[in-house]
Amino acid sequence: MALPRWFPVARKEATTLLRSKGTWILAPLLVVWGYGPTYISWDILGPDVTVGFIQVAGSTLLPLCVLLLTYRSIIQERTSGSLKFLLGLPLTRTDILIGKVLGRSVGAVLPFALATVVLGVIGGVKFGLFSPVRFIGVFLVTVLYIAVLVSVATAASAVTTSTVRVTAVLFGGFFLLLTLGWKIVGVRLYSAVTGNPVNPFEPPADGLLFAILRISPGRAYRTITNWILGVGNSGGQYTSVIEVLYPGISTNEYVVDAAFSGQPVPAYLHESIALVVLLLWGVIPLALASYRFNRGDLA
Amino acid sequence: MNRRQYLAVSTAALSGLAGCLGDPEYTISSVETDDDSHPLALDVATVDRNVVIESPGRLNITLRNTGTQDVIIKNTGVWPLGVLGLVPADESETAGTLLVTDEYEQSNTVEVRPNGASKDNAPLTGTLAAGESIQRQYELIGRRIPRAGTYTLQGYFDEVPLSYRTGENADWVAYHPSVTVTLTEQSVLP
Repeated sequence: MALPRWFPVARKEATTLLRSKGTWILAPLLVVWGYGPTYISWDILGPDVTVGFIQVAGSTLLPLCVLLLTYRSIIQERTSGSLKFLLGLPLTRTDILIGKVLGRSVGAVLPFALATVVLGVIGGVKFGLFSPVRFIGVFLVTVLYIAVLVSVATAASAVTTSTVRVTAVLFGGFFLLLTLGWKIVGVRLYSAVTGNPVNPFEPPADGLLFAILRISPGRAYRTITNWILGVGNSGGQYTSVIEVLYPGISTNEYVVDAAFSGQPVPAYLHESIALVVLLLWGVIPLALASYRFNRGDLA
Repeated sequence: MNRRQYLAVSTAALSGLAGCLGDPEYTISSVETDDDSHPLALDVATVDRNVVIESPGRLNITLRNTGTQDVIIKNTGVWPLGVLGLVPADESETAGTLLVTDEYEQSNTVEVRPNGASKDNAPLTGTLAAGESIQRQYELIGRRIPRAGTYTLQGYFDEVPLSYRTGENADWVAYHPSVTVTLTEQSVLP
């Protein structure tokens, strides 16, 4: 069976990333960032607290590093002129996009996988045997999240003609607003639309608020991983979700189980919908970028 | 700064960040008791000095009647040691860290909550015979510890955990145990 046309591009992208020391620095960074056990999370999760480390590693540092590793994937080739050479090969522009996304995803996943193994060993030694199903489940969802991030970064890189512009879009818009700051931005958006102020310690049982909050790919990722961990229906970090549901502790995180206590929860707030949101983030920006990239000027 | 220096500095800085998103763990590095002239003496032995995420530290606290007469002991909560806590030695006004014992669950006079406790104020009275001792195990839960430092053992609700007298007609004497417990923060890196 013949290999797909995009395969050489993907292989080159993956090997280029994996030969770079900077890529492998990501692994110890993620271990250091992810390892953060808390007394309350141990009370609730027991040995599965180790699984939570993967979510923490995947929540802030991983998106930043993945974006850093991929944001120049197309624009660099465009500004250097090598994109024209690449298109001289029997490849379509879509092949190039697919090859870039898959290759860079593999290049980013491997250091993350190494970090996951190290976190698993450290957590397993200290806290005992955790659920392998939950561990693998959270790992696979994080791999999907990496692919989504690479897809978004590649899409942004494909539709802009300036490195400064793609940097601003990805780090100023996507990372700062949609990943880091979406809890604040989303709540303000909800208040602006409905006119209802939100007390973060006692959020209203309004499906719209929670639906807006999980539009963010980062919060959608955490909603799915919190589902696997079994800590609660929320896009917050698992330690914050546990604190909200822990008696006697008050934290400003938005947890469906706490806000809708005793009331019916809208079906669209089910955790599985967050998986659809994440998949859409992986497909729609890339599809739009592909449309424009196929018709745009390479200059 | 060349690339090697940059990598070394970055790695060192990151190592310093290790575990910064987690809760601190502690070691009971020392327990000191001062004997005084009371007929009662308190011995504190460390059973488990590691106050870590997965298990609390444990102290065996023994109350001994070192005198030649029976001692009548009065307190509240659970008899004879009551509800104990550790208070920072340098800030006596600060709220204490609750020491938890299985006795609280068995009694219906003490209720332990995630971030506090309450107790029935009905007095409990009993007699500790001459030469007799009573031992209870207390747990030191890391989540309840505000920071590392030196702490003084005293009642969690009242500074005086118990009162005693040596005869039915004698006056009650407040018992102030003289025990200091030093907690040091454990390093995340081995």
